[in-house]
Amino acid sequence: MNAMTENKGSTLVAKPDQVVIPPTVAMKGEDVSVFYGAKQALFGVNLEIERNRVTSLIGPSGCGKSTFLRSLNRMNDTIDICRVTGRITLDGEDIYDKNLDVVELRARVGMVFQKPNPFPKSIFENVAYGPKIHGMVSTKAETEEIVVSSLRKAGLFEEVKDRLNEPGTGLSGGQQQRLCIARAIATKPEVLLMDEPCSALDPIATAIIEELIDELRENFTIVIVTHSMQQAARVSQKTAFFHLGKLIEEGVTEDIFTNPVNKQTQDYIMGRIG
Amino acid sequence: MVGYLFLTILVFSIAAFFVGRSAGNRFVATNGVSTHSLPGYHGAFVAVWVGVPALVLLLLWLMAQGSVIDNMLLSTLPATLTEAASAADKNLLLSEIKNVAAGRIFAEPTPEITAAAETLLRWQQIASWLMVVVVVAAMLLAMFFAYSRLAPRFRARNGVEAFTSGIMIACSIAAILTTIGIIASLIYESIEFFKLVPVHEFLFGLRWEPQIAIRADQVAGNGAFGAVPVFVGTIVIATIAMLVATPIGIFTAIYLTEYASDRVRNIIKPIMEILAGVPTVVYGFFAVLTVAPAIRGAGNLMGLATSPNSAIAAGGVMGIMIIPFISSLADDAIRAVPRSMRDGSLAMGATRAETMTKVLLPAALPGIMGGILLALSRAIGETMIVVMAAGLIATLNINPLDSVTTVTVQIVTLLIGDTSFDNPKTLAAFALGLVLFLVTLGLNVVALTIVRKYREQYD
Repeated sequence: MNAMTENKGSTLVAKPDQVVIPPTVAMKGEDVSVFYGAKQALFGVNLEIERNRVTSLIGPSGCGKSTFLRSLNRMNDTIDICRVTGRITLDGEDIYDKNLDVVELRARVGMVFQKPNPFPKSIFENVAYGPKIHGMVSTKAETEEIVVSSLRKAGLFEEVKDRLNEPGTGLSGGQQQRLCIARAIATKPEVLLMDEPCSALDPIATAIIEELIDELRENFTIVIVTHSMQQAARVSQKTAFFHLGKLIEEGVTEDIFTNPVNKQTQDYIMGRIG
Repeated sequence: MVGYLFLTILVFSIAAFFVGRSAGNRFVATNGVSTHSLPGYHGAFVAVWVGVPALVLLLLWLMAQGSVIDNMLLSTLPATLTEAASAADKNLLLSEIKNVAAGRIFAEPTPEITAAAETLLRWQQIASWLMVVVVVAAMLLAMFFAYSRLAPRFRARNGVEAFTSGIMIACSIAAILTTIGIIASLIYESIEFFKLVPVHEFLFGLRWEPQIAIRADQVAGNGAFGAVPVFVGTIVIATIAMLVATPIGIFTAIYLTEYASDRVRNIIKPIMEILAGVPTVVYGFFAVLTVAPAIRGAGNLMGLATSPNSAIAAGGVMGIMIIPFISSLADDAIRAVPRSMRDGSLAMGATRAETMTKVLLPAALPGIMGGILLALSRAIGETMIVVMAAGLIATLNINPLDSVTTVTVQIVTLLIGDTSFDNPKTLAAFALGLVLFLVTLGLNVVALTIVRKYREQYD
């Protein structure tokens, strides 16, 4: 696992055996508002995403947590009527800057979706997709190396090593989701966004993914949207609670779950709203 | 008379509906909610029982009446007229009698014929009155039967349901039977043709000169029925059409699904639909009057010998015609690729073009292939444009600037003018039709199989 630790543009890499260094900020949202046409979905959110930590975004359906997540790699751009205001930075660089290449941004901020969405290609081709389009590999051997190491990191390699040429769509749901994680980390992103990655999976597959998230934290900064508060408590170090498009409360996960400051947060965690 | 009878059946059915419904109302009034069916169902049940059997009876009667009377009439005629007569002669005799009976007299009829005509008129009168009596009696009987079954717990609703599904089955059977009938007539006439011209000569012969004499006084060639030049012509024109339509159609679909803004899409889509709605005969005008001269002019400029009705003009216009076909099916296929695929690829940092060529098109390819094959079968079967813009002479060549003819054109020309169904010229049309049918059927089956298989992929 320690073999791959090349976070581009970062000066600080946490290794498991090192003394814990105070977290640095990977991404930062300042006064982020998102509009879908005339409807405002997000109201002035300020949130810092800390490097090599898992930040979970929780809140009832329609609270804007997925919207915020999708604005972190500008996936909202694919929706015509969507407009983002405020400032979001990655390593201090405004990602909504006109001169920024969105294609490059998405290579640096990877994403895993709610429903596993492997391409209708072989397992190998699925993982090789990103490195190939970004010109990260030039020879077959390099491609193979990156595919194998990505699959290893996603904890899938042992299960699929004999059938790399079979279609990725033939895997089970949990395996498909790990394939999508392997695909996302193959481009060596700094940040990995996960939009309810376990909501379509059974409890066993979910447990495997959660374990995986914990391991991936060593090399990636992770932001996860989840409906399950237990999951947020299990996997994340930082939690942000959204309600009705507003960021209500954020902080260390333990504090949020044991000692929430805000009444709404408390209500949600106790299961009274949502 | 028959028209009034249909009206009577309708009136009776409506009356029966009200009778049944009032009975139903009565049940509801006395039994309340424990009545099984709503009053309307009681009404519909009686109406169906009164109307449908009577209608079926009437239709059967009308079908049988003619031939029954004909046979009876023939048996009354003197033996001198019918004894040695063939079936065709008997038919002639009968139609003469019918003509006389209807007052259409061309020559002075013999006394036997006049007498027979009178008999015919008398019998027809009797038959039609008898028909009225039988149908009305059947309706009254059915009304009595159906009404006697009505009761508070009677399941009129289920009865009406059974009738409704019966109607639906009958409708779908009608379509199937028609198809079977068409195929049967094609096959029957083709067999007749292959009795006159051997199959191998038809399928592999290189000369197509079907204009042979069908009457002794006509001047014509000896005839040759080798269909290869016709098939080749069809393939040439269909190929040109596909070469025009496939790239344009697919790129249009890609543009519309991935690149066009909603505003542009809302403009282009209806225009494509207009293209699909243009009558083929108008495309024919366009090919003959606009495209063909333009191509000829361009060919002359470049020093190429171009026929006035070149394959490229007909094929090109046909290609324009099937663009909407391909573009709308390709559009569907690309749209059917789940949004998550597109998002997945974009989230990997792929550009839209990369997403399209590496993920969406491969995923949509089977659907697009299906669309192309359907369009191809359409191109092969298309008639009007080629009748107007392609040639008539079957020459064996694949030069797109030359004139070629197609299967459909030949079918049309073979069946225009004097026809006689014991002559290979006419029958050849059916053999060509059969080949055309088999080819387009095959293409459609393959295309639909591909499309279906592909649909299952994401379900």
